[in-house]
Amino acid sequence: MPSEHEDLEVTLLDIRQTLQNNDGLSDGSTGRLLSPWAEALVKLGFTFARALELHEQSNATLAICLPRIEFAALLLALGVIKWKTSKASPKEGLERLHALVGTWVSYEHNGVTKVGRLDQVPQNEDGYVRILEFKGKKVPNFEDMSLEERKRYIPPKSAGLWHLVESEWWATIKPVGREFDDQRGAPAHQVARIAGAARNSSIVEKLIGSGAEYWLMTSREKPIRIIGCKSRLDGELQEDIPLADNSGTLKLIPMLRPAGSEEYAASSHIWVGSCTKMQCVDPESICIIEGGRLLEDNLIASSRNSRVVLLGRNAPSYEEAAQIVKNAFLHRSKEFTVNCVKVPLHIKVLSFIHK
Amino acid sequence: MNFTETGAIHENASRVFEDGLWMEIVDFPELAAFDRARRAFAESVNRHALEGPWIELIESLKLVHARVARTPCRPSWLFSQERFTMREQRLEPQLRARLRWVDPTVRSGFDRVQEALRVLANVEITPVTIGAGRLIACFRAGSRNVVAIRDAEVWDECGAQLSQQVPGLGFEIRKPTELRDHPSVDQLILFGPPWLLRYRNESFLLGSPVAPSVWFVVCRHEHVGVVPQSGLEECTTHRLNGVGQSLAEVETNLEHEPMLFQPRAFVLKHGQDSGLSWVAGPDDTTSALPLVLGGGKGIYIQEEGGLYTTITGVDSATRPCLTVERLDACEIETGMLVLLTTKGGGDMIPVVADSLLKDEAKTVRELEILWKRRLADKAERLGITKVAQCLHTSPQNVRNWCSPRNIAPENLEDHLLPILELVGLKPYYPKMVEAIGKLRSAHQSAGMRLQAHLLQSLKGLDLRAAYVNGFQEIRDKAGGPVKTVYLVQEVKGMEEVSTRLVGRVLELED
Repeated sequence: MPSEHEDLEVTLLDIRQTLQNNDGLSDGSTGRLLSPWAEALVKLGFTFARALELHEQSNATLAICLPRIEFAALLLALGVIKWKTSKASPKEGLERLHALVGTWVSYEHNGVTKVGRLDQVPQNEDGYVRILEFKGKKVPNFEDMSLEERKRYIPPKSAGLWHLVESEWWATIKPVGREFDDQRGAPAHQVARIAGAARNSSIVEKLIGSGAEYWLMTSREKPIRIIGCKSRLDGELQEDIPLADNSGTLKLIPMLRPAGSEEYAASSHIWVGSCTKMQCVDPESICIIEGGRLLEDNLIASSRNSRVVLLGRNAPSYEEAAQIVKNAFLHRSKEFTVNCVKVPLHIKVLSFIHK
Repeated sequence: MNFTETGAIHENASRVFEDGLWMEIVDFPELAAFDRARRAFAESVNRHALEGPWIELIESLKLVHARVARTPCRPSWLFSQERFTMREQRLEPQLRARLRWVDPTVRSGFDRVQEALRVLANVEITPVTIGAGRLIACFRAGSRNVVAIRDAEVWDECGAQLSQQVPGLGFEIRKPTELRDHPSVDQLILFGPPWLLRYRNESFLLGSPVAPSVWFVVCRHEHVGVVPQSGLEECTTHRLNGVGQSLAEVETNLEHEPMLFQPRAFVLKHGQDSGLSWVAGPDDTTSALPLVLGGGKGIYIQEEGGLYTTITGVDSATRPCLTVERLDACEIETGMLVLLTTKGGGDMIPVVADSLLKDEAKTVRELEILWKRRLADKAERLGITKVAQCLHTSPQNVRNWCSPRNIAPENLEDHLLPILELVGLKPYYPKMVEAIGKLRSAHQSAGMRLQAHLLQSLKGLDLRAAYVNGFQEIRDKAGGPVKTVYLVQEVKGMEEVSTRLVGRVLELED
C-alpha cells in the first residue's frame, strides 16, 4: 500500500504531465503579465500550494536556488494565493452582492467612484441595490427628532446619503476590504485610493483570476509567513512593478495584504517578519524563508510547516545555506518532484518531504 | 535592487546558464615555466619536511604566480614594486645561506625558481593583457564592460595596460565583491580559472551574473576545472566554451593557490584598555559575535546587540549611501557595510550636552565627578569585589559606574543611594537626582543631534571606497564623532569574551 508521501509524489508527477499535455488546467500562469522569471516564481508557488492542499501535506520543503532573492518571496506568495483563489467558487451577480451586504464597498455613480456601506440587495434584477454613502458628516439620529424636525430636516450634501444603484452598475460594486468609521465615513484621500485600486482590478483579475478580488478582501485564511529582510520586503510590497507588456505598473500590496497594516487587518494574506523573530508557527501556514545565516534555526522553527526556502546565489552565506538545505534533503522523510512547471534553467529547485 | 534591475540579473543568469561561459585561453610560456619550477620546488621542500622560511617562500611564490596569471599587469612592473617583492627579497639571502645543508633536489629546485623569476621579471607585456585586450576590442562599441580584479593596488597598472591594448574603448575595473550588488552591464571579464571562484566564495559572479556574457582569460597551463550551476546539485556544471583539446580536465589543486587572509584572533591595540587599568580581578564575560572588518580590524558585537549598517544604491560608478538601518547582531552578513564610531563619539556628546545645559553645566558636572571620583577611590583602596559586595551588585556594574562614559546607575534609589551612603554623600541625594535627570536629558538630546547630523552628512555620500579598501572614514565637518564605515569581511561563530572587549574596534592579529 503506498504511503501518503508516495501519493503526493505520484500526484505531483501527474500535475507535471497534465501541464505538459496542456489540457487547459490552470498552471498558475498569469497570462504574460509578468516577466518570465517572475511568472515562473508565481507558477512555482501555485503548484506547490496545490500539491500540498490536495494531499493535506504540511511538511514539504521546496528549495529554490536563484540569482537574487529580491521579489521572489512575494511572487511565490502570490502563486500560493492564486491557487487559493482558484479553488474558491466565484460568486456571480446577485449572489455575490448578497454576500457583501453590511460591508463597505466601492461603486461607480455617474462615472465617479464612491465608497459606502451596502445596505440592501433586491431579490431580482428589477430592483435597486441600496448603498449608504457617508461623506464626512454625522448622520442625524432621526428617532430622536420630532415629526416636525424630521419634516424640516434637509440632509446636508456632505452627510449620509442613500444611493439606489441600478443593475447596469452592479458589476462596479466591489468590496473595499476594510471598515470605516460610521460617524466619519471614508476620507477623501482613501476614496481616491480605492478608486485607483478599482481601476487596477482588471489587472488583478488577470493576474490571480476572475473573482479573486472578492476572495482577497474577504478570505480569513491563515496568512503565509514570509521570513527574511523585513525592510526590503516592505519596500518590495510598495514598489510599482512594470508589467511585461509595458502597459502600466502593478503594486503587490493590495493582493498580498500584509498583516500588521491597519488597512488590511480584516483579511491579510501574508505576514512578513525578520529572520531573527521566527518562532514556531501555526502548522497550517506555509512559510517562505529567505536563506541567510539563521537558516538552520529557521528550518527548525518551521519543521511542522510546509515551506519554501529561497537561496540567492549572490548572498554571502549562499554556499552555507545551500549546504544546510542539502543536509535536510539527505535526512528527508521522502522525496518528491515539484518540477511541474517550466522553470527557467537558471532557477533550480529541490523538493522533499522533511522530517 | 528594484524589480527591473532584479529582472536584468535574472535575464543575465538565464543567458549564462544557457550559453555557458566563454574562455579566452592564452599561452604564457615564461609563467608556465615558473609555475612548473615553483611546484617542483614546493614538492621537494615538502618531501624533505623543511619548515620556516622555506614554507614562507612557497607561499610567496604562490602569490607571484597568482598576480601575474590573474591580472593584466606587467611582470616587470610588479617585480619593481617593493610592496610586492619585499618578502622574496628578505627570504632569498636567508635561504641561500642554508642551501648547502639541504638536499640537492631542494637546492636545484630553488635555483630553477630563481631563474624562472628572473625570466619572468623581464616580461614587458603579458599574453594575459593581450588576451584581455583582444576580447575588449571585439565587444560592441559603446558597450559597458567590467573587468574584475581583486587587488585594488594594481588597478592603475591594469587600467593603463588594457588602455594601451584597446585605446579609446571603455571598460571599468571593479572588485569582485562589488559585483554582488551591481547594475547589469554588457560584458564581464574575469582572470584565472573558473573553478577558483568557488573557493574564493565568488561563485556569485556566475550564479548571479552582472552581465549576460562572462569571459575568462585563462593561461593554458592553469587547470580550468568545472563549476557547478547550483549549490543544490553538483552534477550540473556550466558549459565552458572555447576550451581547446589540449585543455583536458585536470583535478583542481588548491595546494598551489595562495591562502586567503584568515585572521586568527582579535587582539587589543596597545593602550586601548588603559582607561580601566586600575581595575583588577577577573573579567565578566558575555556571548558576542566576532566580525572581521576591512582594514585589518575586528569587533565583538553583543549577542543581543546590534549595529548600524549603511544601505547603498547601485549606481554605475558610485555606491551612494541611501540610508542607515539598525540590524540585530545575528542579521549581519559578510559584505555588509557597518558604521562604527572610531574616534571621539563619546567625547563629543558631553561637549554638546554642556552647551545645551548652558550655565547649569558646571554645577551638574561637578556633582557627577564628585561621587564617581569617591567611588573609584573606594574601589581602588578596598578592591572592586569588596565594593561590589557592599553595594550588593556585580564588579562590572561598579566598573561601569566609575566610568565617565556612564552617567549613573539606571535605578537611582536602589543603586545610587547606597553608593552615596558608602562614599559619604547621602545628604546630596536629592541634588544628585536632579542633576542626573538634567544630564541624561542633555546627553540624549546631544546624541540625537550628533546622530542626525551624521546621518544627514552620510546621505548620498559615495561609499565605494569602503567596498574597495575595506573601510572609509567619515569625518563630520562640524567636529562631531569620527565614524568609519567598515566592510564586513567575515562573520565568525559566537564566542564567550570579556565584556571589556565588546563594542570596540580592535586591531587584528596577522
